[in-house]
Amino acid sequence: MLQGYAFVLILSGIAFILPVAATFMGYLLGPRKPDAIKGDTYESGVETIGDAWVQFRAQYYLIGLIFLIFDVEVIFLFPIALAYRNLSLFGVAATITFVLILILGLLLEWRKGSLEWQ
Amino acid sequence: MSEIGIGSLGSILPEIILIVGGLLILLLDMIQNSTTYQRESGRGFMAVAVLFLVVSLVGALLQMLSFGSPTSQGPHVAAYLVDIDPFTSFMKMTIYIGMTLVAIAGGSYMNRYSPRMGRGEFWSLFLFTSMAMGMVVSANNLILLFLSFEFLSISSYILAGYLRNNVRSSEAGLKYFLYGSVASSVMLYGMSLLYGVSGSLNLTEIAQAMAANTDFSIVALPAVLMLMVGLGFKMTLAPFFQWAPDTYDGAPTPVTAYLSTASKAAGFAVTARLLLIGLGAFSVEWVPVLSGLAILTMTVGNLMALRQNSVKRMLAYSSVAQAGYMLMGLVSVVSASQAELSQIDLASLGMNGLNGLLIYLFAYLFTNIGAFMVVMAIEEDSGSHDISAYRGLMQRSPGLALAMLIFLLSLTGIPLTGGFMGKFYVFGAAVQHQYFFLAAAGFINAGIAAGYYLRVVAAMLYEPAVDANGAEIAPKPLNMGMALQLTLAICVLVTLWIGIYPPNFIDLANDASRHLLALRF
Amino acid sequence: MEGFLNLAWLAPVPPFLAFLAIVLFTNRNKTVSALVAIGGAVISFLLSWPIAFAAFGAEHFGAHPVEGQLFSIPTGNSAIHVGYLVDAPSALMLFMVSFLLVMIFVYASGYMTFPHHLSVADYPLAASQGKDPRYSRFMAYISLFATGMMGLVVSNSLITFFIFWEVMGLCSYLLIGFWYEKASARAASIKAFMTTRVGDVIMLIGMMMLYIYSEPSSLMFSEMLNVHNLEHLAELSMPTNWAVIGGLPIIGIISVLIFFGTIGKSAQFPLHVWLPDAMEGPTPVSAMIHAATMVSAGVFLLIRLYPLYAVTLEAAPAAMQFVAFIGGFTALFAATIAVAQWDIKRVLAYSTISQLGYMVAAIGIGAFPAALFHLLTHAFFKALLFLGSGSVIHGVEHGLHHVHEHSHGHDAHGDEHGHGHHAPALIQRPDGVLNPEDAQDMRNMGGLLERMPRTGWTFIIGGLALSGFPLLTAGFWSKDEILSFAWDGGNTIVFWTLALAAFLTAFYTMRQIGMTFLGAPRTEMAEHTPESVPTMTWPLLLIAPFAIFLGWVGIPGWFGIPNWLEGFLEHHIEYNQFHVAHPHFSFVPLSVSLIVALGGLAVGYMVYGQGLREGEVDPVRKLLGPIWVVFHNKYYIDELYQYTIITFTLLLTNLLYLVDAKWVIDPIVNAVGRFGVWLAQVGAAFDRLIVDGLVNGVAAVTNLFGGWLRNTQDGKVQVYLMVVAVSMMVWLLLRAMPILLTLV
Repeated sequence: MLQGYAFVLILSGIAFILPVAATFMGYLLGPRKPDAIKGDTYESGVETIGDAWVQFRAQYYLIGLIFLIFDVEVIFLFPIALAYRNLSLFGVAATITFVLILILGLLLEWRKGSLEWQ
Repeated sequence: MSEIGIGSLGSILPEIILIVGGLLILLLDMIQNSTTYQRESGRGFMAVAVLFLVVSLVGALLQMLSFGSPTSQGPHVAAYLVDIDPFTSFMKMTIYIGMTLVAIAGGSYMNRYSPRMGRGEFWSLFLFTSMAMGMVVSANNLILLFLSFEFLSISSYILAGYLRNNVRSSEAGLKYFLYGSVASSVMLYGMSLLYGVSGSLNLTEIAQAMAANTDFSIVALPAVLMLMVGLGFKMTLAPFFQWAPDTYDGAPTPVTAYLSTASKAAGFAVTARLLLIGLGAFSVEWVPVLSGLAILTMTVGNLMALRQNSVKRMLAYSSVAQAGYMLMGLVSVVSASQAELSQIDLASLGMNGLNGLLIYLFAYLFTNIGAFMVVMAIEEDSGSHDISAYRGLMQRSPGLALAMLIFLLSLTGIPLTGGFMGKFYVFGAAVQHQYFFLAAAGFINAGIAAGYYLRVVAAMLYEPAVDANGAEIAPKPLNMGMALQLTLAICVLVTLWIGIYPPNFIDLANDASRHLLALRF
Repeated sequence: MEGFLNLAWLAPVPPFLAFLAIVLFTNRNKTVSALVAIGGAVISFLLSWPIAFAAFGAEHFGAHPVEGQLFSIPTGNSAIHVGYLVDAPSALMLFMVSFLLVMIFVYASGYMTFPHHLSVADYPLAASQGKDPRYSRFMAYISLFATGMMGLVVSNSLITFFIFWEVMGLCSYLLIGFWYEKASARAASIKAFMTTRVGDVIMLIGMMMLYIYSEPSSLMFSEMLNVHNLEHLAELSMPTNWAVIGGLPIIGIISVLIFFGTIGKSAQFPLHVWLPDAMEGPTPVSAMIHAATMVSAGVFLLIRLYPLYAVTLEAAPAAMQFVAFIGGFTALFAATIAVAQWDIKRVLAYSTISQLGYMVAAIGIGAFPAALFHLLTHAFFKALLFLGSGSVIHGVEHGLHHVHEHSHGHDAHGDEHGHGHHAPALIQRPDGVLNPEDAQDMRNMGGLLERMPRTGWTFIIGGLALSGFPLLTAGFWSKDEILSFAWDGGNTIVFWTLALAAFLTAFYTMRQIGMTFLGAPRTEMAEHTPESVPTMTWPLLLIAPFAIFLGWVGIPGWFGIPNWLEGFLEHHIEYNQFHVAHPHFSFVPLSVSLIVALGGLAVGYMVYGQGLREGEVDPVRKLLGPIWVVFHNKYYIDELYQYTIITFTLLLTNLLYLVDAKWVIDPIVNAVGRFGVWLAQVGAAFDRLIVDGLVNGVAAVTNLFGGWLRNTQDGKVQVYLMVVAVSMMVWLLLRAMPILLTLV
């Protein structure tokens, strides 16, 4: 079992050393003749248009996050639904509490206007 | 282990109370309309928050009192995932006291400066943070430990960056977040290593599995290292401390106050539990790591504090250095000559290292919160953290100056203050366990530290007040709120109390530490 | 009610709080200070009497004393347990001390008027209030004093006992020298302090020996005084072959050394000299120090440690003979001095010494209950007498004042008399120098019974009790018990000594009563003496019954009345497993005590019954001639000490001073000093050039590092994270490399 870990270690060691070594070799051996074209941004052969720094709407992330939260909620609820018949009263109560807290969160988002696309 | 049921929730009642409090504040926040938002001062939320904090503090106290004589009974296991024992209760109490003090003293500051719509959220997050700390110190299961640890971190990120309109605060939050997420993920690797070899998430079972096969020591060290990245981040140990000065400096001062005390205390508690229980059999592996970190931390923290002109930043570095002293206590649990933890006769040791750490944490809590509250008062008055703002404080507000003097003396470790008791026990444990190099490094650093603490003292006591341009001005008195004065008075009194008549605290810390040390099998 | 006994430790607390309150808060207001002090004493009293009576009422109380610990002070391997102990003797003491303290406090609040030796001009405020300028301070001192006594009574170990003992020592010093404007008061306070210190030091040595030789080492009464330990002490003998103490058992040495504490505190020969001089203090102080508390503490020490002395009595009879000898001798010796004194308080002072000698002698012959009994009764009637004498002095001073004002009214050229501070002409008489304005000299009194009836009658009651007026008074029964113990135990010499002393006691008491209250006034001031204020007379009236009835609790069994005190103490004695003889009835001691008391009173009445006529010389002076003079001058003991011990000490001091300052030490020191200065200069140079350089260098380097490190904190998170990643990788590799190498 520990042998396996040794391989992980060896691999991580190699993974660390190889790129460092390659970069260092390139730095050591390669000739350096910089010009404008070489120094330009490489974008898969396509000429770059506009600024690389583009603003996204923060709201996009917000909605995404909220979606994620409820997605995860559903994942948690699946096993509960499957085991529902075996759950004790305490288990049911815990589930309901869990859902209630999330509903409270949803209401809060709503109330604070996070769901409105401005 | 008993059936999970309503009864088992009793053990984490203080945390449940906090959750309920946080949700209640969210509800209250939600039912307002846009006109009441305009008038909302946040004071009501603050009152609710303080109320719930105090209730859960009382709960933690009752829990602690319910244990009676130490080591007479095993840990009270609730829901398989948490240990409620004297150690947990002591830490919970420490944390809740810290959070309560911060809430009382810093509440009006936060209410004044936080965004208008966000006051309710601040207070509910504050309660959630407290809850997370309560959970993280009681968790005995890697999953719960990591979850509550993350919960604590994430809510702290938000709180550190809470002043949205303040660039420094946003920067502090962002840095804290970036650094913290990396550190947590590394810690998670460490945990997965532990789980991988032991096949269990329970700390005790991990310890049993690790002890059963000494070959696992190969894994133990990488695991310790990776864990220490995450934990060291929380405890601000060098070299994982670099977020701390920036975050402490930029975050709202009350948040800084709890980040540097309660949150750090939680980090130390988790570390102690993980290392002593989970990896107790591999103390050979982690003792050198920890002692190296301790020396590095205190040295780096002190050296960097030396050249700071901002008192808040200076305190941030000093809090890094203090973490180094505290770590000495954790190292000194194991004797240098007896490598095996299990060979220690607990009853014979007055200074078992861990109790030093606990006393240190407890005294440091009051001292540092007090010091940051003074910083906050000065900041509200002059808008500056610079040492020049402290000049002539003795004439302007003798009470505040004396309080700061006591806090700084306590941080330096002058006798009759709580800081001295903490240092005394930690250094004493180091010497008792023959970590002479560690103690020596500690002493040298304590000497260096006196230098920058006393600079502030000198400025307060001996130098005349100046304005922004450095011209001497007549000292003008300084206004402070009642809540702040009360908190400062409590901090001063407890700091002196621990320093002058410590037996009560030492007994508590002894109970707590002995319990944790007895838990390791 | 039993549980109430556990509150005994609270008894010393109220006076102490009163002391703090007065010192810290109320010292500006004299009336409030007095009320606070009295309040403290009253609360203490209200605690103590229920405790005492709960103890008296409890079944077989002596067999189960109440003991408790408050806290422990760790001292190395052992610990000092601070706590309280209520057993039979301390219950009796609580009963006596707390009551008398309240009485004395009340009395003091009235007594401490503006004193005559101070000038009104210096203290206008105090004079206008008519109270002593340091009234509040006085109240604070006596409160502290009360703390000391109450604490001593309820102490459960010799350590705390000794601490409170010393608290009282300090207070007595402060109180005796309270009127420090008077040179005599200053001297007296120092004398009292130094003299008792001699005893205390020797006692401390005894305590240390007790601690060292005890098994287990402890100064807790309950551990130290158990039979096994005492027998263990009795079996040990001194590990030396010195002549005197070589063969003696340790216990004898310890007993005698500790007894020296009593000699100092209870003013036994040869350390008795401080007590008469201590009369310089205000009279309530005299009452407190010399009757109720401090001197009793000395005897109480013996009573407390009686189990020790009981074993000593068998193991080292010589030690107890020494105790008995000192006691008996002091009793007679002081009584003879008292016969020839004129100062009303000094007579009482010597009488106190004499009566304490009685108690000590009683301990020495093993009469434990009798000593305790006499301690209690004596405290009451002697407090009564002291307070009465204070009332008399106060009255006569008022009379003097009155006379002066009166003469001023008639004398047109009265200015030259000032404010009555002119020195009156001293009258040389064969029976001693007389100051015609001395308010304490009994020759200036006479016939005061009519002028101050309350004071007079209560004083007479006290006097009769002191003389042992048969059957009725407390003093008779307690003295009789001591005498019957002495007779029954075959201590004939002690018996006759004490009997003679008792005769003299009755005689000088009658002399005092006659000179003061009977006959006709001999001076103008005595004629104008008023009765004292109610705060002073009421305590007298309240104490007086005790001077009579308290004796009835210890009437010997053969009178057909159950002897309550003996019954009460019996269980205590059984519990502590020592043995006390029960004196058999014998006519000899009873008749002797009847005869000496009545005889002494009768002779006294014959000689002094009508007082003396004005200018008449003491008839006893004429009868005894030079012997009287020796009595009057206290056997020249003070002079003896002055010319032997003190002179010798001073000579030695001077000699040592010369050795020190002129001949040997100082020159050496100076030379060393000069060498030191030179060395210091060298050191300074070294310091400046090398150490400072080094220190500054270190500081500079440290600072440099700080500055350098600060640059690493450049505020970029990516750099910080790089640091984390790199340090972790380096770390991991350092660890992983050897493993990798072993695997390869």
